[in-house]
Amino acid sequence: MDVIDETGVRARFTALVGEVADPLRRFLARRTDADTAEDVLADTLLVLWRRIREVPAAPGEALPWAFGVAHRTLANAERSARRRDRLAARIAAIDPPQDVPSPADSDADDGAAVRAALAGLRPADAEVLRLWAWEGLEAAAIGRVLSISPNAASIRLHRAKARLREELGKTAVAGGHVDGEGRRR
Amino acid sequence: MNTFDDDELRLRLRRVDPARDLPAFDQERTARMSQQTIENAQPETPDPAPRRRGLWWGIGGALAGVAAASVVTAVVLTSGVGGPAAPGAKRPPLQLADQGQNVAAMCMALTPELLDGNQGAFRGTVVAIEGDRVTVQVDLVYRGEPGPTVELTQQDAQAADFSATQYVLGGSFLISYSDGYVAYCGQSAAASPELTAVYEAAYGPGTPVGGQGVAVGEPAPGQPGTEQPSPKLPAELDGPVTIGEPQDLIVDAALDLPIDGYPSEATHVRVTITGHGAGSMSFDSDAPGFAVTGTWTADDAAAGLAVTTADIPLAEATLLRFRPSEGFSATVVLQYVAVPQA
Repeated sequence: MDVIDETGVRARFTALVGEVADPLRRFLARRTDADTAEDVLADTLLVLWRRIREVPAAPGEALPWAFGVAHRTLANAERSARRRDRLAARIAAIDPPQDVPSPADSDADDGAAVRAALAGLRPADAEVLRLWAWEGLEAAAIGRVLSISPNAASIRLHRAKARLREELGKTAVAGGHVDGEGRRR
Repeated sequence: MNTFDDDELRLRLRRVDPARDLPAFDQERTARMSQQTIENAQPETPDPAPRRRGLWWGIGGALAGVAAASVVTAVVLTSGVGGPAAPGAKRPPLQLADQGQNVAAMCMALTPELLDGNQGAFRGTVVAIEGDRVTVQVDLVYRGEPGPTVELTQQDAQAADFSATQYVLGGSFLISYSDGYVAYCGQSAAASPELTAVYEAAYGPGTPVGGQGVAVGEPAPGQPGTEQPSPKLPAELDGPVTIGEPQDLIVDAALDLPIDGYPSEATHVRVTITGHGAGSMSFDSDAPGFAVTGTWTADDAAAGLAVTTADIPLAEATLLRFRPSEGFSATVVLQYVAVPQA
């Protein structure tokens, strides 16, 4: 018979939120506007609560699982009509500058170049790079977030890095660099 | 500068991390979020283990509140369970009432011990549905003397929520009852191998009944929407794009199908059920609001009629549940789709 140990479940959930809330909030802040991020964080936590018994217990497994929920919840939220207005505002706010960054070496210029290079990638490639660099995940965990096999994630990550190098190389072409590893999509 | 290694690439990406300067949540904040989430989810409780969800777990959400071991209460038994009927004698069929949908109940897990508390139990086939009156021909008696036919009341499909039973014409059902009421919360449902096993553990193997003529009482005035729940056709969404090849499988027994490993581009899954013969299939998902029962006549099946669900959001669904009526099989096709952003 199923006996619901409610106290234990609540304690586990509270511990889980302590572990994942901040990474989830950053995950969402990186991908959407503040209002949507807040809504989706609440929705994601609700899903985690409902599915607390399915959250992997092994160390390091819960976070990629939670990112996966947030990834899909965000995808849903972005389809809502409410999202349209916010999206317009967000594009205006954070779209990479249209002017081509100069190949100067300052951090600010490098940042603009990296943002532009990331924006120049296919969305799926950019997403694995974000998961790798910003969320700090390796290929297997990226696969869990995106519901693809570790092998597929590894291949996708490898290609995405090569494409990013190529994009970054393009911005440095003025300096005469050629990236031998990169391949055009 | 363009032949940077992974570490440098990561470092350069991290410099443009939009969340880089966000202050960390402190423990007090996360504790509050956890508390708020649980409060916002009330009166929902977390889902039990996936395999049991739905079938044994009853009314959640708005109806939750009052705990009851099993929902068997008042007596409205009208006739027919006295002594054995004389051979050839026609006696009015046993009438069993349903719990009203206003009964608030959380269901207990189904066990043989729970079933053992019932006065009667049988397996029967739905031979007629008129209005909300359902006539079941008894073909196996586990306990009590239900007689050759039993009249039941159809439940509203929306209210049923798998805690009550949605009867479909031609479907085979296992019914337990006491005091004139059908026992729900998983105790009475479409005959599945799992439920049959629990019935046999509780009541023994049962006694087959020879098929007899159907005695239908006064036809009830027709009530719209209760006769043969008609499958909902898919609501065409904003041009969903199919992702990957459709996957098909044959379902001929109760099946809980976990959803995983789907393509990352997919946002929804669409389920199409094509019956192979006469019978019915109930389908739902743990995403709320996606329950459908398809009923096929032999002609429908010959014509290849299919039931297609609306697109089910993958963010909410982890499990698809199929409950075919006894002897019924169907081809189930899963198609992942991406619904474009509005």
